[in-house]
Amino acid sequence: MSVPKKILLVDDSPTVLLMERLLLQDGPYELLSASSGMEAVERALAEHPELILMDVVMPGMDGFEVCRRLRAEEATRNTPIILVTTRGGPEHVEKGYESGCSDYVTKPFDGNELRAKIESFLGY
Amino acid sequence: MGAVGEIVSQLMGCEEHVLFALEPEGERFLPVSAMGLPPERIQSLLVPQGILGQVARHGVPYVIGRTSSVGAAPHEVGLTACIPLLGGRQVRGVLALFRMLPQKRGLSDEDLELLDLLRLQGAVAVTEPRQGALATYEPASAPLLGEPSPLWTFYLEPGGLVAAARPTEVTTILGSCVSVCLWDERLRQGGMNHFLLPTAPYGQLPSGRHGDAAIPMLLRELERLGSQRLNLRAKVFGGAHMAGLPPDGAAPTLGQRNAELARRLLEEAGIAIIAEDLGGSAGRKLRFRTDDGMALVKTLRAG
Repeated sequence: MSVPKKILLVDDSPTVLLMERLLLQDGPYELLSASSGMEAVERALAEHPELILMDVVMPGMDGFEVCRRLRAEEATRNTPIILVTTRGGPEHVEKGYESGCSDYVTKPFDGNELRAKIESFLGY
Repeated sequence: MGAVGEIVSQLMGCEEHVLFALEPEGERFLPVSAMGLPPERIQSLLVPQGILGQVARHGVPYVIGRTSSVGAAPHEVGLTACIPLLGGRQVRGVLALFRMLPQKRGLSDEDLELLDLLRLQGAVAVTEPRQGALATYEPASAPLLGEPSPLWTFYLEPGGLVAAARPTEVTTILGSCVSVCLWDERLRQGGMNHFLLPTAPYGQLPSGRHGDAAIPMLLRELERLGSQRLNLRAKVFGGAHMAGLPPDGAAPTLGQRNAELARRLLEEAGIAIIAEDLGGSAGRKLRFRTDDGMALVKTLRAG
């Protein structure tokens, strides 16, 4: 059994964080969480997660800004960032890619699909 | 919020509404988007009964003051209108409008026209209702007088599917997902899908979210619109991997597997791929015209 890979979950809603934890808890992951954009940047730089799953819309620093800041840092330049968007928000998705995100999922998402995307990035 | 929500709230002045997809068995609604309604209210509406149930079963719209409200369920108090969303002859979902803005006195004739447009959009946008992936559309601009066929535009959500016999511009955004565009040169019609995974994961029903279902579905929809397979041409896009290069010898990425599946299924169907832009490490915004088969890709890159 290899070392569990760290995934940082970022959302200002505790309910969404809990749901993401429930979806991913059975996988070979160590789950970290952050409840704001600023906390996400700090945790990502301190803990070097192998993947970040992050909400777009958050008060203060939003997901786009977090992407831009992490892409500007050597340590997190290539960390896969999956943005969580809501349906009908194409402008969010487009802006997400232009901010440096790696992929996106649309709420409500399916656990199996989310795991398939994550595993692809983590090279399972 | 999707185009439907915007039309309902911005144009019609309804501040409480919910869009439901109907499960294939018709036993349950799946919320797609909602505004102004607390979760418990939406929860109470998930079993198709009362007026929403009648609309889902019979496909006939309900409008307060114009249609009988006999059979309304207690939790449907305040329902202003309920519109079936049609895909072919099937009801794929319903749109329920509750409270209107105070300055609105019921629904105007313009509102009813808009609702009728929404009702019929399902006939143009054939989508997979299970995942609530209803494609939405709005006219690109007001049609000019005398113009025979104004261009319609759609934003296609992941898992959705559009096949259109009238000139339509379909837009979608792809990361590791793949879109197959099929175009019939002779009938000047076409369609597009947007799938996330090559096949359905264990325990999930195959749908437009999975390539092995989404590609045959698109083909079937175009054949239903009169296309013959030998006249169809394909363009394939997406399948990127956006987190540095995978190490040598690593398993193929999800994007690669999606792209590979599209190529294989199209070859098996005998449909030539006349253009493709697959793989790489950037997202793509894709626009596809169903009438002339033109596809434009904008690379989405940071910086």
